[in-house]
Amino acid sequence: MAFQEKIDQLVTRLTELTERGKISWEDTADEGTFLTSVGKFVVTLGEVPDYLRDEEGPFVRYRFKILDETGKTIDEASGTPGEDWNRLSHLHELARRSALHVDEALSDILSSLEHI
Amino acid sequence: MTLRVFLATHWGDVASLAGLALTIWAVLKAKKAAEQARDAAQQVKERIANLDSLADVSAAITIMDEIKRLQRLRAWPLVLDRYSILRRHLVRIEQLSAGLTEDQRVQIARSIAQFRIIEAKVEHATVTDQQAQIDSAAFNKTISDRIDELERIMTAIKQAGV
Repeated sequence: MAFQEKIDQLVTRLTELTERGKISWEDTADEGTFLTSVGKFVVTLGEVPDYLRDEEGPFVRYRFKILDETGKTIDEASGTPGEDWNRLSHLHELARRSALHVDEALSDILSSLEHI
Repeated sequence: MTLRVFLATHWGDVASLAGLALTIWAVLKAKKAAEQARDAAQQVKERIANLDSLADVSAAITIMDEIKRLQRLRAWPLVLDRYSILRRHLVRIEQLSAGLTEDQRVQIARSIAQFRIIEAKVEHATVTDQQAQIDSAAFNKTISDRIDELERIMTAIKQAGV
């Protein structure tokens, strides 16, 4: 089942803003889950093993949640194999890089290598 | 017409004008005093609100430290209670601290979300009897980061003037 329209827009917007470095993500105590805040809400994107997968399907599922200011989940979506899964997978990778400051680390390493 | 004659014939008008000026001055003075009293009351109110926020942030940090200790001891049934107490404190800070900046609110919201995630993991592990697999070191690292953020908020509240 495809995303609900507003979740669809939210995923698109978060992807754009993360790519442009306008939104920062942080890692959580749940490995593979990252969170960011949008206004008074928090969005989490987690990667969970997909034990029910088809032989041809992906190994993981992505769980996209919106939490209110009390931390309660008010909406969520899962990427099923196909376009939605690819989009969440892409956003998850961007979130991981943002949370772990991968680009800064790579820049630092490259800069250090230039001085060797 | 000399001044003496003028005053003799218009003393009533002069007295009325002087009375009016005196009344206006008294009203303005009273208004200023009322505004000063209102500002002082507002400052006291804000100071009390700041003290409440400070007490809540301080209590939240204490509970977080306790949670870290309990997680290290893997006392999961005890720690589950502390998560909900902590969340109540954090929600209170977020909702009742009028002086918080947007960034400070974001940090509180992120803390609440982080503890929801930790709580859900512990709940799930407890129900499925998989407590041995809980990575308490990872939980404590997240909590330490959150304590740092709350310490920053506490310092900012103090600097705002308590």
